[in-house]
Amino acid sequence: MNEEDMKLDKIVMTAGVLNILGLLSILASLIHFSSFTLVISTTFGGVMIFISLILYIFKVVYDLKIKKIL
Amino acid sequence: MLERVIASFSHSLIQAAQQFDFPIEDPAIRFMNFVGVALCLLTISLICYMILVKRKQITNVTTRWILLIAFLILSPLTYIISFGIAIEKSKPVEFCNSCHPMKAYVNGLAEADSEHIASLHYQYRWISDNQCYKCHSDYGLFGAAQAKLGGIRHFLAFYIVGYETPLRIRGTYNNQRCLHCHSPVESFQDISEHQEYAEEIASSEQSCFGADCHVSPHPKEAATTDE
Repeated sequence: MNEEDMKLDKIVMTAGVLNILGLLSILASLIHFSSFTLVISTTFGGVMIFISLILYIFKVVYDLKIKKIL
Repeated sequence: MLERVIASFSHSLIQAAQQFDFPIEDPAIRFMNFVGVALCLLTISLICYMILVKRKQITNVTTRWILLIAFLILSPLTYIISFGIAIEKSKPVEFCNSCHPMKAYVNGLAEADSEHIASLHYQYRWISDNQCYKCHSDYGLFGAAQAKLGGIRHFLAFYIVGYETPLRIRGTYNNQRCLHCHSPVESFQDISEHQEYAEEIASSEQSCFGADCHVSPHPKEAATTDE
């Protein structure tokens, strides 16, 4: 892996971890529904999933630019 | 005499209904809940497998496509499903009763011989289900969204910011929530005060409660009781 790949690898890892955290909060509200899990899943979970999505899109765009497709 | 017989009969009917008053879960919600859990587990497994096991092949085309599907399709889909389920599951009275400040209000609903409007609507099932939600959310496209935003505010007040007693409703109660069901009814239209103050009632300038009109919706003590 070169330096660029390692940088992209870190971005994907971060996106993956954030996504998993968001999904875990959603899973908690689906398994045990309460006012607390509801708000955590809709706010924290939503934000985590959104950030991970943005990170991954950034990675894809960056990747495509390196390959001069974009 | 006849009135007493009718009152006693309706009272025993209410008691029988309350005895068998258990929440019936909608099969569609149960199914969507199952789908949500399955999607959630599938997405977590996929991401874990790709970023932990296949980490060295992260630049691989297959890995990229799988991650793209997980991030762009599966995760947002899971969130949307869980959001829909959350909106439906937060409508029943039992959910409102899960926060302490609401307990006195919900207890008041089931109080026998109560003359308060909310209690009558609940006990006689004039509103069949989700009674709190139906009287505290506006009708129309944004009614549910506004009610849920209000719910987040309640959550913040309950867990983080704190709240003051006696509890007070935010702003002015929207009479359209009452009028939605009552205004088309002939017995409502026949009352001279309803005709005389039609505009004020419709614009919520004139409250339905107090001023010799209707009994307050909830017992006043409920606002100060913090169990």
